[in-house]
Amino acid sequence: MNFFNAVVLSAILLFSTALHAVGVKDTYLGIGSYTSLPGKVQTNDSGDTNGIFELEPYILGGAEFQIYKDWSAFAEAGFVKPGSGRDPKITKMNYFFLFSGAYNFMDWVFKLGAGLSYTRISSEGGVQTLNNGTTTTDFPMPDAAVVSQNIITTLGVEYYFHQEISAKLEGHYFNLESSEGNALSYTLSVSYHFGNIFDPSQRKSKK
Amino acid sequence: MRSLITLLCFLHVSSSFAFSLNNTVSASFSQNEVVVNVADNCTNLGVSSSEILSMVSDGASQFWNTVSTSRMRLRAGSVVTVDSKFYNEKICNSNTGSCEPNTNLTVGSGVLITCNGETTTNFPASQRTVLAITIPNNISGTTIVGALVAINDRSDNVFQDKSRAQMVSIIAHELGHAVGLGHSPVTDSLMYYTLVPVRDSLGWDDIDGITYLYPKEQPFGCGTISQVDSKAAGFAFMLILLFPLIWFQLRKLVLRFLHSAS
Repeated sequence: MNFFNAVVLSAILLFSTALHAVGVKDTYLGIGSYTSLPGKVQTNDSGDTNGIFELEPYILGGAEFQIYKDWSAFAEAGFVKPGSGRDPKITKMNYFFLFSGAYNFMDWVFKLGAGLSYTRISSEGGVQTLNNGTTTTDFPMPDAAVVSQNIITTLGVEYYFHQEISAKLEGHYFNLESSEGNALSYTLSVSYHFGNIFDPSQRKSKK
Repeated sequence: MRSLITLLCFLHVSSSFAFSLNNTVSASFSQNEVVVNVADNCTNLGVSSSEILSMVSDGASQFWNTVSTSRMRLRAGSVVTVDSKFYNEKICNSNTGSCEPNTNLTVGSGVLITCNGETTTNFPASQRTVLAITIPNNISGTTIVGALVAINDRSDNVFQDKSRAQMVSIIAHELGHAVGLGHSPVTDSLMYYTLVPVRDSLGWDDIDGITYLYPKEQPFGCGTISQVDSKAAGFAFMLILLFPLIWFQLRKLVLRFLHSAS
């Protein structure tokens, strides 16, 4: 574990504990779309790349914690709908856990945070018969599941267009501490806010 | 050696669903940084060994080292002098479906790119268009210790006719084999079995494949492949994060109950 990762993880855990101590201000659930590596992945033999927006449905849930005046913090989890690659034997799933500090300004919320992003790839095994030089060969397929775990840095903006409904755009930046393997993914989502479900007297969000 | 190596990773210059592997044990390098050395024995490629080393660096930074979810990074090493066997001998003792590596050519560590002019088994006239043969030929358990990339150095090889960008993608493709990947059936992937008109970046199969073999393990990475057949990691992390919330809310509810009861 390098220094950057240690600092981020410690901050997340301390932040988490501190937040829970101050109490929940709001809880929410939402749906949205997760776009992974926009414009960075080749999609045909002519060099075209994936679009800057791709519809990968995901669900999210989280809580907001009051810190001080217009400042608050968020803890959130998101799960991208598992999908198959081109081969139905391969299943890929993304999920992430985020912690953000936020500044509330009128109907807007500006967020900066960090979290862990997971990519799970699994396969049932078997072989694929593929071209190989001047003949064909049976290439083995993976027969297990693997989870890749990345620390990510997040930057987002959320707009409340109703007391209980908001829309959010949030970027997930991978490997901020490194000059290699940097990547950006982002989410677009709509959330419904339940307020403080632990305290009915503060049932609704105060946005 | 428990592993049964099933690959013969040719790249053919004519015209291929998910990523595949080139061995049956999902072998991978244990270290995060894999050094690629180039032998100084090429005579017919039209490029020098140092130029090939430069292409290794370019291929790594343009392709494999860009994957955020992979821990593996390729590093260009140096030009090295190797035994003439690497040029003259066959790569596999048998080629019937699977490869039994020639132990004379075992690579001690990392990846070695060598030229090879053996024209009986490796690159006969009928396969002169085959660009290279790559095999992880030093596997211990599920760990690749060393891998060999043998570029076709026949006098009539077709590698020499390629543009530099094509050479970079060819070498990057072979390095994909060297680190454990097999072919992909889709043309958008670098691991497709032949060249495509434009190769600028990796396809999803490449990214998924290298992530599968070399998953990132931040913040607790220990440099070994972790095949996890559960969602335990995420679930455990979520429990850790939620524990304070559950604790404080339960405490609040209990205090409220005691207060109302009194």
